[in-house]
Amino acid sequence: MIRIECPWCGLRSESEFTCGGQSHIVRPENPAEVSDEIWAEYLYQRENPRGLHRERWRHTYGCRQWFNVIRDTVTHEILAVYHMTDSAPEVSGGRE
Amino acid sequence: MDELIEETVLAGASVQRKTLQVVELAAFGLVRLQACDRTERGLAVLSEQLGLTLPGPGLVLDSQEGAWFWTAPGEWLVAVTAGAEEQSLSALRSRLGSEGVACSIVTDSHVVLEISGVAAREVLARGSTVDFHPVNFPTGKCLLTQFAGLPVLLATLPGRDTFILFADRSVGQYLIEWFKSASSDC
Ligand SMILES: [Zn+2]
Repeated sequence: MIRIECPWCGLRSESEFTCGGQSHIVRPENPAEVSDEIWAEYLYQRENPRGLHRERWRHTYGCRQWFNVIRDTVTHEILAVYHMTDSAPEVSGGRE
Repeated sequence: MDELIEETVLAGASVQRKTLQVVELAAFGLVRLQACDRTERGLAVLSEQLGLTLPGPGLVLDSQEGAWFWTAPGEWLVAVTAGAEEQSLSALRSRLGSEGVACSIVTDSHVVLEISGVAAREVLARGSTVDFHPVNFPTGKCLLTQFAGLPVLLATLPGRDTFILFADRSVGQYLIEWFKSASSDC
């Protein structure tokens, strides 16, 4: 089990959280005007890196808030935790 | 209607071991406050209107109304005297003004348990991954966690070494059964 630092509640066990998948996905501004390819990419295509992954987590059993995490998918090390409204910070370590 | 007997959620069901006691606390009426503006500035204004310093994450505040428990950013559970909810609600509303804060009575959706005895911390630790050591869970602390598989609010009141557990009313009996089976050695 990994331990995740909730920005509000502090360090808790993974079992209290729900992973919401890749973060920073931006919905195309004019869905009617984009190609099927771009729309399909927005809906279905996700990164699957061996290394740093920016993902959303929710403290489901705690404060019920969503936030972002940068996790190394190889080691499970969490290199950063930041609010949903923040842009991804630069981190060192882990594989890009 | 007056033929109906007023009953608490657990109707007296409890756990009585040598080193652990779990009883239902029916002494609390519960009011929930949810603020729209969760910014530092917004919360400062709210504290000023209420005339108290709203507790931040993990903290409990004892006030004239009752005990305030932090439950989420911009959200608190206030434990007042049972039966005094309406009164507390209007007192809070009169101080808050009309916009941006939702206040509601949630007494009947909750069950409140008091867990005491020298084995309390050890038995609680059997149901959650939270650290119950007094250093990390002193009095006057509250936290929401997964306990016995359920979302609960666990708290210690300032100056008292007993635990209070808030959960959904429907799981009250299950929790009593859980405490029974988790404390057979107590
Ligand atoms: Zn949290």
